[in-house]
Amino acid sequence: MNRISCCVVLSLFVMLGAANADIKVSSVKGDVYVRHNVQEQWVRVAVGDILKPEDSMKLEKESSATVLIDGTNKLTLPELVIVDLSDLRTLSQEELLLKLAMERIRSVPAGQQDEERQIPKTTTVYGKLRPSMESLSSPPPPAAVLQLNGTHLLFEKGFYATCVLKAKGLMRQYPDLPGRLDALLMVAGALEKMKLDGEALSEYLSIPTTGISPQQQAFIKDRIARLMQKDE
Amino acid sequence: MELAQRTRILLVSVSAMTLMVVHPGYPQHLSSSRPIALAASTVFIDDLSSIDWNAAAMTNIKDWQVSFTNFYSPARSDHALTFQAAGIGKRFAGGHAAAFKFSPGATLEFVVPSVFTLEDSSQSLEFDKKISYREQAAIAFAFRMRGDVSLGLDVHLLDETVTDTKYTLDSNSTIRTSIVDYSGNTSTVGLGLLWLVDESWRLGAAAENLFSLTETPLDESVIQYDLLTPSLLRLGVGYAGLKNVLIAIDGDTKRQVRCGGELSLPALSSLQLRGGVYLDASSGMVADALGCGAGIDLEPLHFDLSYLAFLSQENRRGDASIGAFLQSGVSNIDFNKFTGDRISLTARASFGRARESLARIEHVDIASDIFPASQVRYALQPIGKARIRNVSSRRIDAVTSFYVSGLMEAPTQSQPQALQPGEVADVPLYAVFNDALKRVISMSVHEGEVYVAAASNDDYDDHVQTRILVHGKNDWNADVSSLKYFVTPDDPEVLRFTRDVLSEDKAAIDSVPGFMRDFQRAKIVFNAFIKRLSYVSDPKKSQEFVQYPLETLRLNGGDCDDLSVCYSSLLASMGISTSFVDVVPPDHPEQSHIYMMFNTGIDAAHAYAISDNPKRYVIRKNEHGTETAWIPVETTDMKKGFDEAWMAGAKEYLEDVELNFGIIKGWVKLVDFEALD
Repeated sequence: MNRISCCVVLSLFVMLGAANADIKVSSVKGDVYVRHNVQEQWVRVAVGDILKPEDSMKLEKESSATVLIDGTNKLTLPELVIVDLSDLRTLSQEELLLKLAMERIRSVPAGQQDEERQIPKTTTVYGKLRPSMESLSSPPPPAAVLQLNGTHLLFEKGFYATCVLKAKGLMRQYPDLPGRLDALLMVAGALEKMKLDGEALSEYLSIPTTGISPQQQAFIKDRIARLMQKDE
Repeated sequence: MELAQRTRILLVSVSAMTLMVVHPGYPQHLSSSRPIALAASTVFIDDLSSIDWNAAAMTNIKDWQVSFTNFYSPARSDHALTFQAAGIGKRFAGGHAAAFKFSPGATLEFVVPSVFTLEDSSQSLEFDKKISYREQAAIAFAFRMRGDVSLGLDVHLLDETVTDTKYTLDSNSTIRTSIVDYSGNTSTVGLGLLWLVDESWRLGAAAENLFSLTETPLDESVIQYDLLTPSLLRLGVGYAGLKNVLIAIDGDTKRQVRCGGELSLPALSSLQLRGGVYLDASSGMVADALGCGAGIDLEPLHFDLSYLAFLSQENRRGDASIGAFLQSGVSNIDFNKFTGDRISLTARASFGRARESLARIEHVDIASDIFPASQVRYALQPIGKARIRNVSSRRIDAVTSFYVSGLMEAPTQSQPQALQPGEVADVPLYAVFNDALKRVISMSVHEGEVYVAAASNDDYDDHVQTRILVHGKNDWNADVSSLKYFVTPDDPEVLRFTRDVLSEDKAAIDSVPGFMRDFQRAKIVFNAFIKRLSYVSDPKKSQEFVQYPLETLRLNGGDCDDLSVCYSSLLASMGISTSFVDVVPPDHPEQSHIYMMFNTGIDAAHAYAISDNPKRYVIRKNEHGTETAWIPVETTDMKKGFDEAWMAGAKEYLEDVELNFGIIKGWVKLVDFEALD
């Protein structure tokens, strides 16, 4: 096993320890809710509640909450966010890259993943294929916006890897999410923070330059130039 | 035996000035007509006489061969035809060959006349001494070390007998005679090497009498007649680069040189003409003898005729000087001073394979047992491999076939594999099994046949039989990727079930928006399915046994694997793709289990319509590249209904994949079953 593999296994072990840590609610202001595991319902949080990594917290307008992770790390959650508590953990570079790779693998169509040779279909389809969706163009649900806000919290608190993963997942799922440009810049910035310059450069390069302000364009150009300079 | 004769001695004389050579036979190199005519046969021998000339060349015989040789010697007074030898040889798979030769006519007998004579008034009795040498039999084994090099070992069993008459005078002056037989036997061992350098050149070497094993030595009193078996090394070179012509030359450490050639006449239906010369280089390259002959192929028979003529007939016409005999003795009886002219006729028959093998199967490896449920897989993924070697001296295109009698309609064939001389390749073996495979109730052993053919005709070059272990139709190899082969969405019973359920609940399906209907159908079918379940058995009791959906529907029960398979089949029959989630916790492999997911077809952006909690679904790309929501379902707890099974499945997926990185770490595996549109 090479060094990188050892690091990955070791850090996964540490990470899982954090992922399984208990989270205690130490203060609550306003409407703060928790959704346990895969339940549907949000329930109000009270001070002293012990939450699990698989739970999620939602904070409505003018609300805030403070949680104590493993009895030592204090974290204050602002208004209008949804945070999966499992995201309050630090992943290493390697872990992040593996997760991103896994997302890519998971998103490969089933047929391409099959190791066996594909049997060509001989069925001929006449007429139109049934559309999978009936041209729904409804805006993203409010929960998605709160989740995206939660990713900004993750960025601010230094959980860059989970910030990247969550933000990318949300943007993939909801392409019309408001604040997309900010999210893209945040993802690129988080990658920079993690010293993944190549990945950060790719993110900056993938940001569409149309429809953004000259200041933002200049910022992106500057970041690209700096990263390319580093690369050389 | 004792002869007593009471008589008066008139004369006792010893007259041993000449000896007669009777039944001149040559135990080693004159057992077949073609080599006799060709003279130099170390490299171009291709029949059973390889036993004598170069055992390595036995790898050139084709499957079975039997051979008979008779000869006629003009020097013999009785003008009889002598049965020289008969042999049988077999070449085995892998290039080994073995042969046995019985040679009743391979004898050499000397009579020393009138050792002494008794004379009295009434009669005169002569007592001759007889010295005979005989080869009883020979055996040989050859092995093709690689495509172009063969090695051979030969053993010749020789015996010798000296019959002498002795006389004594007793106290009454009576002469008593007695006949004494002295016998000895020896086995000689030789080695041969043949190298097919290229299509034109051949090199060979034969070490004769490399060592001898004497079982019974000849008595000291007649040791002067002992058969000599000196070691001899013979080298041969052959050239076949001229059209229809072979040229060969041999030379040995006794400074005997032989060269000869063979001309094939295709216009005269495989007639071959050949000739050779036997030279003695020890005295200035003097020709000793000439050979000539002809051969004809009448498949499967082959006939060769040869004539061996010595240029000097001294001592070769049936009588010789005993001085010459005692001076040189008899060693390596091929060419001694007493060999006479001869006409030989050899008939040989080859059975079995009609041509030389170009390719050989060195090894067959069947990687796994056969599980009937995975019938389709074996047509697309190799069940094993065969290692093929080009044993010819030219490039070949080898086609490998695999066949299991009774379970396959016809052999599967590989693509032609181009192989250079001596090159080896591992060829994958595929199997297209027929429906008989799915009727195998319990584990059984079958014969698998592997063939390799390198020629364009129907004949194969090598064949190996191997054992195939076929499991019962419900046996499962515990590999989740094989579980999908139990999914049978087109089973009439499965189709009937879903059709009936969907028609019954049509109103409930129509009540939801179109994009939610697959999800709704999956839910309705799930609940209808569990309604008819009368039991759910412990999966540990049937870990390697999986029911087909038809059986689960008929038995109204099964374990979680059976239920997953059945539910997958029901969903697939409605065009809903499914995936098995195989979880093998690294610390607790005994807690491994399988649940499933199905594709709702709802695109990712609208997945919230299924649930507000994104942890209850998984976003994956479908076969068209669109990201859609998949629903995990735990089938172990089916009895509680769809919502509970969904929640349990989602919880497991969250824990296994999202929190504990099971997929990254490799202990969670997804196996998709794509539904046909």
